[in-house]
Amino acid sequence: MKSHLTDCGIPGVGVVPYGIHMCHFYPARAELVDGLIPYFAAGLERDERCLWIASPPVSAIEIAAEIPRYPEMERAFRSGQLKILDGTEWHGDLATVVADESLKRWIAEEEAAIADGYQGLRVANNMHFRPGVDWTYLLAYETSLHERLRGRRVVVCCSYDRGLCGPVDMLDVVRRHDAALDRHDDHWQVFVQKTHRGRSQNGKEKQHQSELRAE
Amino acid sequence: MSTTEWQRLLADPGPDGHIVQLYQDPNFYGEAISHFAAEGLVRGESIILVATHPNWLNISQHLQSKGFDIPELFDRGQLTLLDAEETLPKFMNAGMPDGKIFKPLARDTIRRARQDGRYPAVRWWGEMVNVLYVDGKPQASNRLEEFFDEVAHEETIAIFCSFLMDKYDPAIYDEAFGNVCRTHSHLIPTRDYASHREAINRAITDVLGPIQGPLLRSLTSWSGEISGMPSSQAMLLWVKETMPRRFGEVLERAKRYEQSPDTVGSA
Repeated sequence: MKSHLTDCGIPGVGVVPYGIHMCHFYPARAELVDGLIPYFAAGLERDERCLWIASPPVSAIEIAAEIPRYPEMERAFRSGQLKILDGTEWHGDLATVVADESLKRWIAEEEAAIADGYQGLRVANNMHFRPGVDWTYLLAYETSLHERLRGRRVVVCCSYDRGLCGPVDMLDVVRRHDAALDRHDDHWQVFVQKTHRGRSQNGKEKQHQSELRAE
Repeated sequence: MSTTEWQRLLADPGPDGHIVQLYQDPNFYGEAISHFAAEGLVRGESIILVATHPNWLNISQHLQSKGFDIPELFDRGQLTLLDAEETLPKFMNAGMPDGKIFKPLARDTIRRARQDGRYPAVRWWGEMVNVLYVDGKPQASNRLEEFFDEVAHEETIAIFCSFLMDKYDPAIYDEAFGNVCRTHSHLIPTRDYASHREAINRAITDVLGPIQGPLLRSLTSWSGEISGMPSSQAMLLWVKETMPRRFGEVLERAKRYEQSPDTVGSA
């Protein structure tokens, strides 16, 4: 039987359950990339298919250009275990994205990964948005994603530019994720969202929550 | 003007939605109530308004400006108007509303508004609860609100209330605001959600600094109930619950920013 836990890879975070939907507010491009390298390295080591959805401030081409610095990732990129796409290619323009259509693609990607023999799907999704324009659409997309990921063999980390998010925006975001990642100096912490997918928790979700608390 | 979030909510409150508006601006007050009524009228619903005389003048002017013929609405029984100050004493007993009198009175008003099935759906806006609140009778106001909520669910009607409350007054958060949230399904704290959001974002950033480390931990783990209100208003509740000593300053700055968006902030 496959384990329902996997290594997050981000130092200090440890083991996370499949189905987890995390967020991360990054202060600058460097932290965005530095944080995600160990995240993906752990996914590759755990034999997961990895999907890096890039958006400004760093494009898919720029990420691909950095990959040769990491031999394991370079091999995975060449074999197709690691895919790097731009957000516009993955979900299109946020203001016109149809959440259900986009989510079908997420689910299809997870099912394909499992059919190909991988343990699951690991995704980093940099959520670039135009303040005051895309927010409502972005929240609808995140809400749908949050609902549909439950019970799937998917680990997702959505990254947000801290400079674009006010405190109210951050509340909107954390309420649509299971946990928030935060970095202070070189130390990472994970903060668990207590309302965790609303009031209708089933046993499996409660188990997820207790596993995160134990970290 | 594009349709705002509160306009969408008032247009389609659901069969037994119970919405509350906080206001200080009489124009926003009249605009919201008339929008709630007008959207019901065009959907073929029956409207009950329980207003004081000055406020009825405000509401009726807004309805007329939307093209409604008020005498005609009265004639065909699609609009029912009750005087709040005449109706209130009918069910008050020793300073508190008496449910045994109020509920049959409300049910009878709703039954008549349905016009023998001609208007199956009914919407009710009333200000008796606010009259009690403004008169310094918060317990009576809260009790009446609870009775309204029970009748709304029993009769499956949408209810809209308006409270004369300053959302930036720290005193309302001691008890009144909590009571309002407890007895309503949705809260409309302001006319302009975008400006409110911007003002709260700026005020919290000024007073608390960036949301990271312990603040992000607190925000993430906060389990306050925020459904039915804009996130900007919910964010104030987070500050109130977790950093009560900074709450007054956040409110004061937010009020200044909302009134004068060009105000330069300071950390």
